[in-house]
Amino acid sequence: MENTSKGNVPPNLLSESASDFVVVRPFPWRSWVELIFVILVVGWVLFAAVRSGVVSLPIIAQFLLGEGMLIAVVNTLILATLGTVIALVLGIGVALLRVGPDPVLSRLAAAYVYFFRGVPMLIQILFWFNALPVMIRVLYIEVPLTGTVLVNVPTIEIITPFVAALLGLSLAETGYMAEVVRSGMLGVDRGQRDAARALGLMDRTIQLRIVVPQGLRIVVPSIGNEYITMLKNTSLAYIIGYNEILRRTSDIYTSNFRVMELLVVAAFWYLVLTTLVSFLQNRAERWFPAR
Amino acid sequence: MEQLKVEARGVWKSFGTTPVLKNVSVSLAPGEVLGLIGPSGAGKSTFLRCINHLEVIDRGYIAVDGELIGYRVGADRRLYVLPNKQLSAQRARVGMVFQHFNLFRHMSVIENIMFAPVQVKKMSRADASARATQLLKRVGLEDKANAYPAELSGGQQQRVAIARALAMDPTLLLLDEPTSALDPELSAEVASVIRALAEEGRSMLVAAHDLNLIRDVSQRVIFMVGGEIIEQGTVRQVLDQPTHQRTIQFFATMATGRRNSQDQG
Repeated sequence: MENTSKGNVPPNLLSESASDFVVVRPFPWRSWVELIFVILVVGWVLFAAVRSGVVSLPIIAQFLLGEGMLIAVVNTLILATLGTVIALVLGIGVALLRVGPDPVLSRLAAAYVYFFRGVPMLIQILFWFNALPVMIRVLYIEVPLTGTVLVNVPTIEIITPFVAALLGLSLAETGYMAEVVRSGMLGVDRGQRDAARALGLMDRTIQLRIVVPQGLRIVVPSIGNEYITMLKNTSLAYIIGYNEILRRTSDIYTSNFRVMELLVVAAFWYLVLTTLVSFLQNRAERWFPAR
Repeated sequence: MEQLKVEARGVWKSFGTTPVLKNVSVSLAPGEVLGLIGPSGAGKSTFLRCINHLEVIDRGYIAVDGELIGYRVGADRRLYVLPNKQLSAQRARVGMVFQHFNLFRHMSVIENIMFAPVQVKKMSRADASARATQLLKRVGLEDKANAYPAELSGGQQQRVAIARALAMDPTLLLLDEPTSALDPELSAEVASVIRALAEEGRSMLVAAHDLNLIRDVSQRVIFMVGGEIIEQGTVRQVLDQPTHQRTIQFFATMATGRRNSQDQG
């Protein structure tokens, strides 16, 4: 073949000297310029806030750790975590009923998702806290035939702000979780089911041991997303007086009128909790790879 | 007369309005290996899936070891679908190997093999584990017991899938394109496992595009096109002296295809 001198190929190089041509990747100048621009803009906003006296750094520092803030942060974390775990467990159940063979249960599950996703969480929390104790005044559970009374207390004593918030948040979140879990189950390869059926496994075993475990792996990022959403939805419990981050900060600013500083404190703590959950999500993605 | 291993008579099946099996009748004697060949869409895979009731047939019947699969005959000569529990019990006796292996991705190799014996046969974990180890040795993968499917080559995955099917002690093995997703080298290691199974007298139905595999393992061959059986006979008859025009044409295109791909390689 004729050695072409067309184009920009260096002619007649031995392979050793050809290896001297090293690929140089372009330096990402643009990214650095963009980063500096963002730092300048954010810095300018923060500087403006402090200089104008809208926020005072010493006040922020004072309330960041003090005045019962940490208890409120822990309360928020407990409520969000319990709510997410309960919603995940119930959500798996609702999703299984939804895709299951029983047409009545399947439609009930769909109706559950429709209702609890459709009504605002705030209304649901208010319902559990205010309406339920009025509708059912005494919670009375008796073992049938024996006459042994297990529970006999006024409902209002059981439905504390914490219980009402937990009920409202977890039952509403169950609607979302059911859809997250179902989307994961739909993402499981059909061949997995075929193989399990061909081995003689029952449908129930296939769903519980093959489809759900693999589906959950697919939706770990979505579950993390729901957890983070839940962290911030706990702030709705402020309206029924549960001592979480927003309740605590607003209690403080109604007495000292440092609204901006305390909202910054609240935002700071929500970001801290979000960081924690993001970290857990990263670990979970590594522990349970979608393979 | 000896009890047939598989007896399919007048099987019809369509997906919606598209017919995929038209009056298919097949018999398999115990210990026999039958190859199913034909172009894509011929209905080979569907037929295999009908045998263990992964697909529901529309008309006709299929029996394994003299027992109807998936149905009970009513007094009115209609077939009634069996309850799930009995269906699962029937499927447990028929092993199946898939083109894309379908190993359970979230379980290690040994868990894949142990899962059905423990769940379905209620075998103890210790016994299931011992049996799985023995089967892994047989397919030459005893060192991969704790690996996950994603860490294995395609050929290794298919050998695990065969071990998983054997763990249920099936009376019949259905192999659906077992080597089609593998390159020639990996396909050879799977083929040698299948050949060993054929030599020990296992009853098998093998659907494949790989004519070498078919020639290697089967005694009889069925050629299907468009859901119909066009030609059947011994390996020699069908593969070497086909009489039907459509069969001759099929082998011609297969040969050209192979030559072309060799030219490109």
